[in-house]
Amino acid sequence: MNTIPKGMGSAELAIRVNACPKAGAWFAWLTPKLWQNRATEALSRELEAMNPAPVLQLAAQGDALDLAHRVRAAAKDATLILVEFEDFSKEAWAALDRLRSWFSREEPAILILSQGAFEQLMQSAPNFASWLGGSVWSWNAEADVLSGEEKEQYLQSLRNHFGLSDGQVIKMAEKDELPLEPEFAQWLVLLERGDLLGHGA
Amino acid sequence: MSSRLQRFRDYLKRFDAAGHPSRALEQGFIVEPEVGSIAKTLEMRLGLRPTSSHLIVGGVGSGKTTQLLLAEKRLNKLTDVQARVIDVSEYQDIAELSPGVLMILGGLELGRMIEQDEVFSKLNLEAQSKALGKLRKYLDGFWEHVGRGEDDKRWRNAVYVKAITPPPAEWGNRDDLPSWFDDVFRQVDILCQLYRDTDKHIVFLFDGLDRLGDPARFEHVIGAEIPAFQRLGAGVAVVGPLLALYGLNRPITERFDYFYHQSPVNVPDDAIGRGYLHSVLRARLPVEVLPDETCTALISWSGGVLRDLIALAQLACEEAYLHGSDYIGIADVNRAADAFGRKHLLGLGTDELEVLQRVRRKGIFVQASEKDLALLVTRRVLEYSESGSVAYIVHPTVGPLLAAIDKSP
Repeated sequence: MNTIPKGMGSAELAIRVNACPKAGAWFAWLTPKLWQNRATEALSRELEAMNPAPVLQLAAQGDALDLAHRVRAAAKDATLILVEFEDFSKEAWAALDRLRSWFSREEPAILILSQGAFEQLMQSAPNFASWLGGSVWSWNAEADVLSGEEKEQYLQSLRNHFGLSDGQVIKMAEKDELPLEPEFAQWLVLLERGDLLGHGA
Repeated sequence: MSSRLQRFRDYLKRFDAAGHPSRALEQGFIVEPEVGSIAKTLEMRLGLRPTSSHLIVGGVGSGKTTQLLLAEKRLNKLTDVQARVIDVSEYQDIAELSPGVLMILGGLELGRMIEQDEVFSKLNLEAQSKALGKLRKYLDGFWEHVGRGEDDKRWRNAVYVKAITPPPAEWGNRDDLPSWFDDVFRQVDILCQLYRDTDKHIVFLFDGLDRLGDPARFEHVIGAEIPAFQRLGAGVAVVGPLLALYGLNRPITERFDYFYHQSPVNVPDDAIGRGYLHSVLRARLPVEVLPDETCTALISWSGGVLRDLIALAQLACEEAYLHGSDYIGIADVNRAADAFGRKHLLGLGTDELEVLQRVRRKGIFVQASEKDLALLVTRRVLEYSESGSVAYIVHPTVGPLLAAIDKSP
């Protein structure tokens, strides 16, 4: 029985994050250290394609108080991606837990960290962990878009809502005629046509 | 932007589990329970005994801050009471908490209150001004300034305090307190006198000390501060660490006149509590988007923990959006609960899993070690206590996963 969090690619995570502005939402994306740069870049790209709001990366650098200051100083409308927690000690996580009030913000924030670092978070920062709710996912390179049934369900909801087919959306994007709405960007990503994102969407 | 995305964004905003409860209060999303409201009890007791002291403990996300905010609102409706919530963790690294910190923070808050109160605007406030200046000097002398907020009004005058440097003899009983504690007391007393002269009672509601992992430090600070606040004629309520309830820490509760345990709602047995949780959800979304059966499922999976209820609802809403639905259904809730349970199982060792399996199968839980207590603090085990009887369950979202592990070869 596998009980690790569900695997998720950057596209689905970005869709989830994009749905949560001003909702105080925190996410954790469990990613092996080796792949964290790649995952962070992919997520940043997806988020920037969907939403004009700034996406800021902040490195934890082992110091909870310093990180708290930088989170507080970050642009209020920015989505934050917090990285480099691998050297965060048990004491640093405990300090972050005590400083939790400083991390409160309206726009979404995503922690990218290894499973080991996340386990340390759960043990040493229980108050902070409670903010994550169930929004803890494992990085899955192969699931860089929604997979299988979920992907088709979401595409169908877009087709129904806008009364357009996938082909029509691709043609509109190729002609720079796609409306400037984040859901069209999501649509193209789900069709694996993120290459057309520069064409209007 | 499509109206569907906009609509779901609006729904999701209503379930801000990480937001400060004051925002939810302002938006009308906070519902006070009809039965067992700590805020109501605080209002009644502090109304009758304005210098009484109160300790509130409870698990993470059980709604302690919400109760303090509600109590503040209720108390400030009384004509002779001025109550203020102070989140100590916003100003001070609570791991370095020393006697005098609460007194100084209370004094600074009094300074702000006096400045804003028209009643005092025509008085000669030289003595109070001097007292406030001395308190600020203490900050300059003993406390490390590491930052000032610029945008947030609350932070304009805030000083983040890394630590007061405790004199070596300080870690003893109250008689060993440094002389500056007495001086701090004198300055705060001058500020309090203004309110006493107008027959107003001051009540400080200190939040954030539940994150202090060292019950001995908590007891040391409280042992000095609570009697001092009482000498000032001020009432005090403190949110303290859950560990104060267990084992050798139990005498901590006796330092206070009154003690409250904010338990999760006992979902299986408490119909009134279930109704309360239902009203919390309904205050945020109408039945067309959040049907009653969905509320029932969310309440059941939450185990009666307020923040978990809100967080599960937010994730279920996200699932509904992602799966093309226009309302939040049972399947969305179940997916959210599964994700929630998986998070809770991460990083547990064999011994902790055995404890959880025992709680799941037999409801038996003994706090024999720090690891056991950690299961309570992190809400993997929930404690329902009422009228002296205590029952334990594993967090409902963890139960099915534990059962599946149990059956796995």
